[in-house]
Amino acid sequence: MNMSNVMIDVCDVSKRYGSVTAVNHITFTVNRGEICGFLGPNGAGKTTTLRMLLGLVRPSSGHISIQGVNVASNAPKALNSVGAIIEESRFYPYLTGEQNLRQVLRLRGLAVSPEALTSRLSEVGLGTAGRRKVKGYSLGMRQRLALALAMLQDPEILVLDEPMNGLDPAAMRDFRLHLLRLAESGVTILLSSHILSEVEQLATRFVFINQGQVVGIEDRRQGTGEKTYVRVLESDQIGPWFEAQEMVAERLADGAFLVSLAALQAVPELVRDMVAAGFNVIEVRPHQENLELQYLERMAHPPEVLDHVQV
Amino acid sequence: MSKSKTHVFFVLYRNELEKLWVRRMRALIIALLVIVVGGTFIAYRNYQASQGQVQNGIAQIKSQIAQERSQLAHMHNGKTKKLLEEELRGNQSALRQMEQNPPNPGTVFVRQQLSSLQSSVKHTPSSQLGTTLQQIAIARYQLVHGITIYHPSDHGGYRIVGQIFGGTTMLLLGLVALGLTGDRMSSEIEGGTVGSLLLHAPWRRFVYLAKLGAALTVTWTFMAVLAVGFFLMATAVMGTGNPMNPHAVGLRLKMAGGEISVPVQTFHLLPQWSYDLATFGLALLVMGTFVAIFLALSMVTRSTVFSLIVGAVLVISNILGHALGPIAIANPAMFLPLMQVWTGQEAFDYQMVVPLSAAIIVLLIWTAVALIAGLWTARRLDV
Repeated sequence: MNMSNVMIDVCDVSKRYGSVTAVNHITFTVNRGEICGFLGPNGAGKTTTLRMLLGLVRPSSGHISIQGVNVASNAPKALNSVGAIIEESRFYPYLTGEQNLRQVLRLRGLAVSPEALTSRLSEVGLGTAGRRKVKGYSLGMRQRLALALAMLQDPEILVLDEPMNGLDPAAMRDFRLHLLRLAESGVTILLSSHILSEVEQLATRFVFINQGQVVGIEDRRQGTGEKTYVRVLESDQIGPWFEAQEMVAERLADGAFLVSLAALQAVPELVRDMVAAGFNVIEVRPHQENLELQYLERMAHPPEVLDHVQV
Repeated sequence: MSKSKTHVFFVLYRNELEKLWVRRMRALIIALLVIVVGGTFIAYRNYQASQGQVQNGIAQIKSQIAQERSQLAHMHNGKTKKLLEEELRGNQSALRQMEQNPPNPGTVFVRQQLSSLQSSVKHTPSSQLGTTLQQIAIARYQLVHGITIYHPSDHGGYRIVGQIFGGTTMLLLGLVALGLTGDRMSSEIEGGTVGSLLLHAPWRRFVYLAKLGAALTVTWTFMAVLAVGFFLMATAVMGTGNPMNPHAVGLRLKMAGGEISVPVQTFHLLPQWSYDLATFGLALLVMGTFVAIFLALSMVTRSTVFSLIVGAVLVISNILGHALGPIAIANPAMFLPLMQVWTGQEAFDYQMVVPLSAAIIVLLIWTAVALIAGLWTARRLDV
C-alpha cells in the first residue's frame, strides 16, 4: 500500500493510567476512502484509542499521525480535516440546538446565519427542534446533532465512536447510507460500534482490539479467492472429486464446501471443471466469514459459544 | 500569534460569553437587584436613623429651652439667673444651627474645627501629631473647596459607591465572582462537553484564556452596572451627596510599640468622586485576581463542588483578619477591600501595616500562580 494513501497511522501506541494499561502497543492504519470497523468489547481500549487519535488524551508512548501530521505535537493541523462523534455526545444542555451548533460553526469559521443553521439542522432531521434547549433532547436527537457537527466543513476523515447509539432503525439506515455515500466520495471513516450487523454492512476492513491490544486485522477488499463457497446438487460426490483434483475443500454443515484457491482468477476455471465433470453447480461465491463469529473467535470466547453462531 | 489563532481566540471568547450569559443571566439580574436594593435600603435605614437622632436632639434641646424659660420666669435677678440666661442663649443658638443643617448628627463646622486643631497642635504628643496634622490638612482642603460644614457620615450617591467597593460588600462580590467562575472548567469536564470543545478548538491554552477573559468581562461589567445602580438608587433616595468630600489615602503608617502610628504628612487627599473611581479601579484589580484563582481552582480540582467550597472559604477567610497571624499578608482575601489598605483603615482594624504596593504585589503573585497552575493543568488535561 502506498504510504500517501495512509490517512490514519497509529504506531505502537500505549496509554497507561498509573498501573493500569488501557492501550498496549497497538499499531494499525486506515487508508484513504476506507471504512474501517474498530471492534472490541467494553473496556478493550477503543474509546481511549479514538480519544488519543483526536488529541483528547495524550499517549504514554508511540505516536499517532493523521495525513502525516503528528497529533500530539500539532493537533490543530492534524485535526483540521477531521470530523468526529465521540462516545455519548455531550452538548451544553442550557443552550438550544441552534446555539450549540452556532458555537461550533463560529469556531470552524462557517456561516452562522439563521438560514444556514436551519439548513444544517434540517439535514439531520432536527428542523424546528433546534430552537429547543438540548436538555430536552432524546438520545437519538443528540446523536443527530452530533452528526450535524461531525459533518461540518466536509471532513476528509470521520472518526465515529458508537455513532448509532440511540438511533431508531430508519435513522440508522439513513445514517448507514450516508456513510456509504461519503466513503464513495473518498471520505475515510474509522467506525467503532457494538452493532456488528451495521458495521459489517459498512466496513471493508476491521481492526479487532481486546484488552488494549490489536488481536486481528481483516481486509475484506483483498479478494485473494483463498476461500470460495461452492454448492452443487451432488454434494456427496463432489468431496472425492476435490480430493482427486488435489484441492483443499472443507465440508460445511449445509453440504456446501469451502474451497481454497490460489487466486480469485482460479474461480471461473473451477466452475468450468465442475460443469465439465457433470456436477450441477447451484452457488459459487467468495466466502466471507461471519463477522460475529470472527469477533467472538478473536475475543477468545469458548467453543460452545461459537457453536451457536451461524457461518 | 497568527491571524487564524487570533480568530479562534476571539470566537472562543465570544462563545464563552454566550454560555456564561445564558447560564447565569437570571442569577446575575437577581443578584444585581438584591445587592443594589438591599444595599441602598441598609444605607437609607442608617440615613433615617441619623435623621431620627437629629430630631431627638432637637426635641431634647427644645425641652431644655422650655424648662430654662420656665425657671427664668420664676427667678429674680442675680448671678444664677444670668448664668441660666447665657445657657438658654447657647441652647437657642444650637437649636437654630441644628434646624438649619439637618440631617446628620456630628455635623462638623470646619472653621471651628480647624481653629481648635491648630490651637491644640502644640500640646499634641508626637505619637498623635500625624493624625492631628492630617485632620488640619483635611480641614484646610475643605475650606479651599468651599466645604464649611461637613457631615462625617454623609449619605448619598457618591459616597455609597466608594463604600460599596471599598468595604465588606466586596466579600459579597467575591462570592458573585465565584459563582460566575468557579465551575467554568469543572462543569465542562464533569458534563463531558470539554471533549467536543477541544475537538473543534484543539488549543487548550486558548480555551482556558478565553474562559478567563469571559469571566473577567462579566464580573467587571457586573461591578460597573452595580456602581451605576447604587449611584442612581442612592441619589433617588438620599441625594448625590458632596462630590468634593475629602478622603485621606496613602498614609505611610508605622507600628510603634505594638500600636499603629501616623507619621507626619504622609498622605494624599482625594475628593469623593476621585476616591470613588480609585476604589472602583482597585476593586476591579482585586476581583481580577480572584477570578483567576477561582478559574484555576475549577481547572486544577476538576470538581465544581470542591472548587466552590474552597473558593468560598478563601473569600470568607477575610473575616479572620489578623487571626491568621503574619501569614495574613499572604491571604488575598485580606485585600478584598483594597481601598481600606490605601486609606490605612485595614491597618487599624487588623493591627497590621501593609502598604498598598505590597498588597498589589501579593495579588499579582496570586494571579500569576493561578494562571500558571491553570494553564499547566489545562495543557495536560486528558478527557
